[in-house]
Amino acid sequence: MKRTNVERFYALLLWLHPPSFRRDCGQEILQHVRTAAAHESTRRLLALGVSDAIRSLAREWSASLSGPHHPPRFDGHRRGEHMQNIARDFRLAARVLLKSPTFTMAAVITLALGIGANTAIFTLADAALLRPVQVREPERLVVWSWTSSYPDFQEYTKRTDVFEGVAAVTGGSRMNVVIDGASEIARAAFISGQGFEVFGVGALHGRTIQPADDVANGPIVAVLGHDYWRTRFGGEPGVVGRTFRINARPVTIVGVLEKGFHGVTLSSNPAMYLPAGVYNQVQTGFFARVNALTARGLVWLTVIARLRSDVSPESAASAMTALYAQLHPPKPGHRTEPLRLETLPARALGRQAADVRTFVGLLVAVVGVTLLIGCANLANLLLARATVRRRELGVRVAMGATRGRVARLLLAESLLLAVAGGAAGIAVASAALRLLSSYELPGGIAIENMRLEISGTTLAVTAAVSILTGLVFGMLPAWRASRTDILVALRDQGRAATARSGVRGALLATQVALSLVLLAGAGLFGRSLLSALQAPLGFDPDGVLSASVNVGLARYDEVRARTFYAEALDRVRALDRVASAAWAGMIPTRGSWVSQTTIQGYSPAPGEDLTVNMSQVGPDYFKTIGARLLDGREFSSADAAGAPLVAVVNKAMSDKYWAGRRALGGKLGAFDQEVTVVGIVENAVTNELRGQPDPFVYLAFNQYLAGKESIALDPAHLFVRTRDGSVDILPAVRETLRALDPEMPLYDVAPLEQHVGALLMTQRMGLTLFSLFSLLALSLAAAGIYGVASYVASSRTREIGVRVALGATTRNVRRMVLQDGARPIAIGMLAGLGIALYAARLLKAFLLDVSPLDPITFAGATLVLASLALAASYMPARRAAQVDPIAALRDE
Amino acid sequence: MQKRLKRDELAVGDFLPLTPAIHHILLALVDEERHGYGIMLEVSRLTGGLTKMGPGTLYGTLKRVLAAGLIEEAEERPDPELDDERRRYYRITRLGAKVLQAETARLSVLLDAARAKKVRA
Repeated sequence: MKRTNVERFYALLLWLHPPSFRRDCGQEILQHVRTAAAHESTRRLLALGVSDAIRSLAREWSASLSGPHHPPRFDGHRRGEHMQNIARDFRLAARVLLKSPTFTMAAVITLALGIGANTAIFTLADAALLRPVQVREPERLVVWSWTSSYPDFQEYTKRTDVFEGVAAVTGGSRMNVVIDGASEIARAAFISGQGFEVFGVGALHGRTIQPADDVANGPIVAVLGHDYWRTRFGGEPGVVGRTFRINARPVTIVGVLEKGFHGVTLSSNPAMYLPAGVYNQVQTGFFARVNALTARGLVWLTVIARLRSDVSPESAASAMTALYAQLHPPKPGHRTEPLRLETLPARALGRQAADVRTFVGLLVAVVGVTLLIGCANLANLLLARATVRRRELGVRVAMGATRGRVARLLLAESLLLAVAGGAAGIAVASAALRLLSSYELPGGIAIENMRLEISGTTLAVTAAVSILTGLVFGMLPAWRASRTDILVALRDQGRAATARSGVRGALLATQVALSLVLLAGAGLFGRSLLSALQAPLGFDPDGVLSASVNVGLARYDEVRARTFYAEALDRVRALDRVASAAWAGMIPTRGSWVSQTTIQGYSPAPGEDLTVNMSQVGPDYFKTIGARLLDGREFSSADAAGAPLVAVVNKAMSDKYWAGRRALGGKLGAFDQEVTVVGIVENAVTNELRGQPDPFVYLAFNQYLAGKESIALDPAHLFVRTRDGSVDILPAVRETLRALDPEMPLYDVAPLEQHVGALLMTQRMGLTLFSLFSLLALSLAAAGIYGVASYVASSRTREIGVRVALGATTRNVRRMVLQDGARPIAIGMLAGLGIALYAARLLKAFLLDVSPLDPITFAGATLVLASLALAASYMPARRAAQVDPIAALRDE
Repeated sequence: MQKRLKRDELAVGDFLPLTPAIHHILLALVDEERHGYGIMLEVSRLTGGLTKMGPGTLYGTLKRVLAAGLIEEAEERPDPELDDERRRYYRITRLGAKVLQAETARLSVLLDAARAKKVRA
């Protein structure tokens, strides 16, 4: 019969119990669980299993350690005394632990780091993979693979034969929000009237957006996201009914969304939702010019529908493809790609869902490995300690303590350690979550947006893990100690202990192997980051800073916008130490618009798509960001409205479309107008570091501040290069812009370096985490190697004494001890190398210009670990070699 | 005046007071033979769902109560209501029934005393 996860879990718990209990009750318990699983929820059974196991583990081990000659024990029998004993055990255990603070600290820190890291990453994995969207039955929600126009969306909603309900939503865009006179930029999303009902998301206070709100000219209402409500309004329930301004339009708050819902994608958690119908009232710039509710050409909505239970996603997709073809009769020669419907949880991870999954899986594996190393270390520590304490325990037994009592003492010690480690682990976890918040998952998913919180479940799991760790690793030494023959223990400490070094060797080899795996991972990410940092950007961000404004959100008209741009440029250029400054419609590393073009003298192959990157940049732009002009000139102030339209193209564009010809003076089409190429600039990265550079057309910023294709009211970015390469004039730039208009939405005032840094997010995150964990693993492994080597050396003191007495040299002894410790290390390294080579292919997707099997990395990691191992075992070996034979022999 | 106790009664007194787990198990078995899962269901029913015995506690306690002779194993047989798998059934022994009686008497004395002092449940 196939085992379910619940049964596996109980089998695992069972395995932790004493053999006699497993033999007597094991089969019945599994049978019981199988029956129970048919009647009860998995979650309940797992919770019951944990709480039950904690009690029965303590009881059964205590009974089993008391020995078979004891009568069957009744817990209630003189229960008071029993409780008193337990309290005494814990008090004694605490005293014993405090007496050896180094050991206690080492154990608690090991546990805390392992548990903390696991809790943090588990929280992340839970949020990213298990519950990416908090809506009712998310797996029955399907998302259109393309965005739709409002009229099309309305056609979809009529198909009640396929869907229970259809919602349309946007991802959220930057808005100028003015609350009580204070301006700030916040993300607001639009949602169709039935949206929240389709998602099954309700309101915590007030109400959500209703169909009645979703009209073109109605009053604007907003429902706040839970997180924004908490951070911006301090969780005040009285906000319902208040008004504020969005892009200078009055808005009334009608409700606050329930806790947990954080948008329909991981990458954005809108501060608030507005009805889709008010789009034109609120939006500014390019998007405000067409009627969003009637234009079939403006595709701005993500459509999400709840499938009827009798309809499959495939048949729904083909029905919608057919409907689309009806609404938009295909043009000859133009093939429409069929619609795909993805489930919401799959889509919520963004365009690089597979990468996100692999990356998070990788993190889980890394912290899991770290926890394993930590546990191996803890086990080693406890074993070493139990050996050292044989004499003490022997004395306790000789003085009349029962073996059960001694075992309980050891158990209490490990439980105390586990609880302390778990508590410290929670602190570590929240620190780790703060660290994680500054990173992004692949696909630009800011972890900060996910608002990670250590949940009750995660906490419970952490507690269970820490207590079980303590029980498991406390049990082995406890069990062994209770079997110790008192006389042997009292007579000779340490001679009978050699058999145990087998277990310790295996633990050590495991540690070494896992450390090597992490070290190799850190090496690969490090090499990748290094090669990425050396890759040419195509511009020089050193000493450049950027500031973004959005005059549209401040309700400027084009005349005022032009004045603002000119004035701002003049004032910033006049600042001390400014070498040059320029406006641009985009930030170099943040991608660009793509647009169809035509090129004079270039005949595209049939079906060839002439889509290129386009963006408007002002005079001095290339000088300011430090891009090299290869030919011609860059834009000047003469390239203004009314002057002939000009463009600068990048080298990739020139090579591709003017192959063998001179691009300078060439003509191309942009927004249905002819533009002359006046300059060629080197290729610059657009939005990722890898891959071939795309053709890029730069248009003159000042020629697009009026007319049909005006960008005057869109976001604009100011770039400033300083003379001395420092960016400390940043506050001065901010002040200058603020002084021009205090209500102007101003954001992302930062060194350009920061935007470039964002490109390397994955590499950086990988390097940081792998380095952190491999450093941790290395120090644990070093401690382990040192511990085992010292232990082996000290347990052979007598033998070494004899050898020295018989004429062995210091050198001989040193080599002997080193060789002794070398075997588990060598085995560990070989195994580690194998695992690392195998596991490295998982990293392939995240590495830039580095092979996952990079020989330098692997050789380096092996070398580092080998020298560390040598160093850690050399000290004990040296100490052993200095043994005075007379003292060693007399001691016995 | 102290009454002399018979041998059997001495043994019974030795088990008192019962732990909740043992008390529940004896109570569940007093009228019918049951298997482990059945005991758990019955305990849950008797206590109005307040007591939920985990398998580790249940079977661990069963093992000890069995060893003490308060219950014994009936023959294994399939349970048609569940999945027809063979299961181990338990029944209460004469000693077990006496222990349960004694515990009930002990508790009812306490209960009466509490009622007399107007302690409300």
